[in-house]
Amino acid sequence: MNKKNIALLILLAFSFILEGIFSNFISIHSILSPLFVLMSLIIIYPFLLNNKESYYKICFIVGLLYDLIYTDTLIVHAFLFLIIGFKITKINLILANNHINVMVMALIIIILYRLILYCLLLLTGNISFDIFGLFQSIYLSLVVNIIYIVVMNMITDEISYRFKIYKGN
Amino acid sequence: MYPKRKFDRRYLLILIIIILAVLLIVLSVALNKERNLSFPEQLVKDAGTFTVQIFQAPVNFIKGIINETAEKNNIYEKYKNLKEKEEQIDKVIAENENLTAEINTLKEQLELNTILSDMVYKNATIVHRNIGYWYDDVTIDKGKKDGIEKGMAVINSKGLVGTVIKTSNYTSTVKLLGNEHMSDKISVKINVNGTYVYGLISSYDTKTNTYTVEGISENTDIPENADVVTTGMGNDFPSGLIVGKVTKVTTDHFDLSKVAEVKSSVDFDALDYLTVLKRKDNHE
Repeated sequence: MNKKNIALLILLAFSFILEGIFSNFISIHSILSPLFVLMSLIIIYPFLLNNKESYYKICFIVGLLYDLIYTDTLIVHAFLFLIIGFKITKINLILANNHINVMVMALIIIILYRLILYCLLLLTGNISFDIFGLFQSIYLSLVVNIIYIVVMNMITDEISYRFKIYKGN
Repeated sequence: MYPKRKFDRRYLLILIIIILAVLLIVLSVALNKERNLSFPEQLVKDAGTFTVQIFQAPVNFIKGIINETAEKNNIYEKYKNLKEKEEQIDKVIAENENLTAEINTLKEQLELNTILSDMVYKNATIVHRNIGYWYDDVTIDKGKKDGIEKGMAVINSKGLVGTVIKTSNYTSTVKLLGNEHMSDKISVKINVNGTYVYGLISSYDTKTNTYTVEGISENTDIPENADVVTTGMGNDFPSGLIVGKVTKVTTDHFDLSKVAEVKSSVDFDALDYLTVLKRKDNHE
């Protein structure tokens, strides 16, 4: 396993575990609703710029683990994260990798994730129509996740510089 | 040469509709809260939860120290409160012993093995909270190996918290009652000066932390602050679990029955330790 893969694995595992731990310390409708795993998918993309197939595989596997460990929903997040992965690829074609753009990307991805999940739950009859609930779920996720992605972006920039790991722009 | 056959767009449309329908069915099954976890799912969930627990241990330790320090600041106030309660406790213990003896005598006379309020306790700690906006559930560190089963009631020191909806060998998922998308109605009774009136919890409001209890008899006046407890009928909940206190009483749209707003005794934002209850069966 090379340096890059180890760094990516640590980053994903850290986000995964942190989301689980963080969720125990906040209230249900707090403005600190964490989506760290989703944010880590944005962070790892520049490292896998030349290996999109691996990136999509990672998105699917991370989604599947998220389903199995956190939500008991089996394949929902696996496909959802895969779709998000495709979208991150497309957005990265337009936006360069810097702190401001990463924040914009986080905003778009959070909206997309909440919207798709909301539509799925609505279509499958798990929730009743509540557009205010959708807006609330979006804005409650913004603060902490945008802070997290900026901090992680800085850390990965530093790691990439120190350990000479290629991080695309 | 045969002419090239043109692809009929109607087939494409039918194919898309079939794919979408299949996808929707698969997702409906995956999102179904009542679905039992398969063996591989249970295995991964147990392993994942165990890993999260390892990393969570030091965080919980620090949290415990912070809480202890905060509690030390108002220790004198607590001591005073406890001192006042201590004077009443002997009386309550004596009453409790007396009532237990009476219940046992009545059970013997009526040849009853169990009553609705008989229950078995199992303490658990919350490992993970699914705070995704539309799932109000938590994962606890007790599972099938500890005797936890689907449908069991879950309480904390304040009152009724929720129901076990999924179990693996070492973990269980608890659906919180503080959930705006409540699918099952829960049978409750309201204590009105020693007599009980019955109703059903139909919904929950997150903002006010209140339940709506419907189907209450029109003929009874319900005072504010009346205690609301479970009846033990209609589901697996044992009888007598505290749900909350009445804050407001209105009538329904047709003036046929009363509707009560009940403030939950549980703060769903501050859950740490839970107790899983099982109603005693006749053979237990």
